[in-house]
Amino acid sequence: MGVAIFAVLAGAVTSVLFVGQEGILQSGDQVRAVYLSSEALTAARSMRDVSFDQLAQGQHGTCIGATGQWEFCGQENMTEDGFKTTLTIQALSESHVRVTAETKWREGNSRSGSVLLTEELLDWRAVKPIGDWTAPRLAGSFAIEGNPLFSGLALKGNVVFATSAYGEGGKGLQAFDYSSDDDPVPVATGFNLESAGYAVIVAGDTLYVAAADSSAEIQIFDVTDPSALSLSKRLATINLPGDGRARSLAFFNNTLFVGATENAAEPESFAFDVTDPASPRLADSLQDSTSVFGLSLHDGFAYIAGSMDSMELRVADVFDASDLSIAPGEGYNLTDVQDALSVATVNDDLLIGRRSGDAIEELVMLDLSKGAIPSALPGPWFQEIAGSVPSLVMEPGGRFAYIATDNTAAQLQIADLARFRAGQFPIVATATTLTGGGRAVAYDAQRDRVLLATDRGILLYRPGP
Amino acid sequence: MNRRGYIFLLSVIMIGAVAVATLSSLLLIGVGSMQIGYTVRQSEQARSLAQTCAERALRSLWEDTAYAGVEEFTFDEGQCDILQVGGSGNENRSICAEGRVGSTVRRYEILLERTLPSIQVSAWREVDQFSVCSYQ
Repeated sequence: MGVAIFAVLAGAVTSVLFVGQEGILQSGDQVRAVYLSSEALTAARSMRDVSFDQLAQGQHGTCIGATGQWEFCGQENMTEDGFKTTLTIQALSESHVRVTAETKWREGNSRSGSVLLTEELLDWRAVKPIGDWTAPRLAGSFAIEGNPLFSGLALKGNVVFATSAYGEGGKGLQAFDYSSDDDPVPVATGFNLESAGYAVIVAGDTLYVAAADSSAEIQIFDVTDPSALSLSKRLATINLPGDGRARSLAFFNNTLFVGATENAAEPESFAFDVTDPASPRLADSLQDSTSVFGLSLHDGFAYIAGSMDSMELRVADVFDASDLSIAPGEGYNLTDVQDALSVATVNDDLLIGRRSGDAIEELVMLDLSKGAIPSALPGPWFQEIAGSVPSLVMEPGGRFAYIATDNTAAQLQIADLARFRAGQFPIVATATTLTGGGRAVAYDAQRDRVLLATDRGILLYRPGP
Repeated sequence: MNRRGYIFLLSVIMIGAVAVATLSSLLLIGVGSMQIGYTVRQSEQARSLAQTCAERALRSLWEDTAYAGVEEFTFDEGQCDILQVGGSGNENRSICAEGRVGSTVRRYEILLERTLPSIQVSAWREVDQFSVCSYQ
């Protein structure tokens, strides 16, 4: 009896031991297969990083080639102990593939299985092409009777918002649809800001306007549907100290930065928390003896194009919007005393546009590679524009800059920044308008188009030929 | 019942208890081991789904810098989410993507230096909880 019970128990223990061991071994197999499949996906990602075109449709094996890079080799990978991995690429579109890595194994009758991992890869490492801006073409224009004196541009989708004077054909703020790649078409034509507008910026579905209204210098609109712009879409207004002083705007990460004209008793720079655009909250302000005509944010610093004679470029530390301060080194003193009116930053390049002067060049490029304050070397580089530069913009790759100027023979000027840095003549193209001086310029990076606002018109340019 | 009977009965009970405990432990170890393989597979697939959503978000942002995110995708293997894309304009954007298979969740947080003319990634990290995005 005792022997029988012992035998039964021993058998049970042995069986369970066997089952447990099998479980551990199968688990190990599965982990190994997951690793092999994951490695195959890693190979595909690595190849995509080099060139999306390498992801040819079909079934592949992967290996590291002679160049030390992952590549396809054969149709499967087989380990010495029988794990077979295949990588299957299925094209979903020209820039989108589904990648499936499957590892199968079999060892005896009981230990077999497969692991399948799937992910999608897209061609997001592509470089947006840019056209030939040495030969720009006027795609379309819209001229207004009177003298609206457009002053600022902001883009949302296919709509451009333009601030202007109030009266003389100007409504303070107007919107134009330029989707047709032809003449811009006014939309929301019934809208009227009821004061002049100086600057405008769009962040997401919200539009911020710097207006001349003495009690509502900043006006905030919902532009989810740009063509439905109306005063009823106004979410909030901000009353700055003083009357109608706001001149420039910048936006970063739920913070609206506002630059104002100089006032001995009031701040010139403001930061507002607009996490809820309907309830803007002052985060901090900064008093500095300069008007803030232009603002550009770069790596936690605000670059201020201003009126201070001894330092036309001021640099503010805005890393913490609730603690604004002038950065150590303070800025850069340009030759003579003409105001800086506009500023733009891309990569390590900083461009400043100045008020016209006989003894100065109105376009200046500075280098930011050595820190937040532009260094004396390399640069600076200077270029005569023969007119004031109230607005300029660089395309995101930093290859070209588009300059709006009141030079009567070349209201739009295009600079090649590589040539500028090399000390060569940087202006590679100019355009003349029939609607007065250039006053604001914007670049549509998605469509590679430039919009120029002049005294009386909105003009759309495309690259040539 | 005599003394030998008690001894035998006690022996059977004790050996039986030890055997049951051993069997239970071994069974649990076996089941647990199998569960490890299953969990590793789930986790890796969740990571792949998070990667899928990250890839989709990156391409969408490259095509349109106004892309806002807030999308959910369902696949045979599980689901993935793109949270609200952070920042605005061309520079200093952030993307958060989450992949889910069963109860397993993997999360990627991606910081972009710029989006155009080509995307420049300044940080791509797997996180336990998002720090630059929030759920809506």
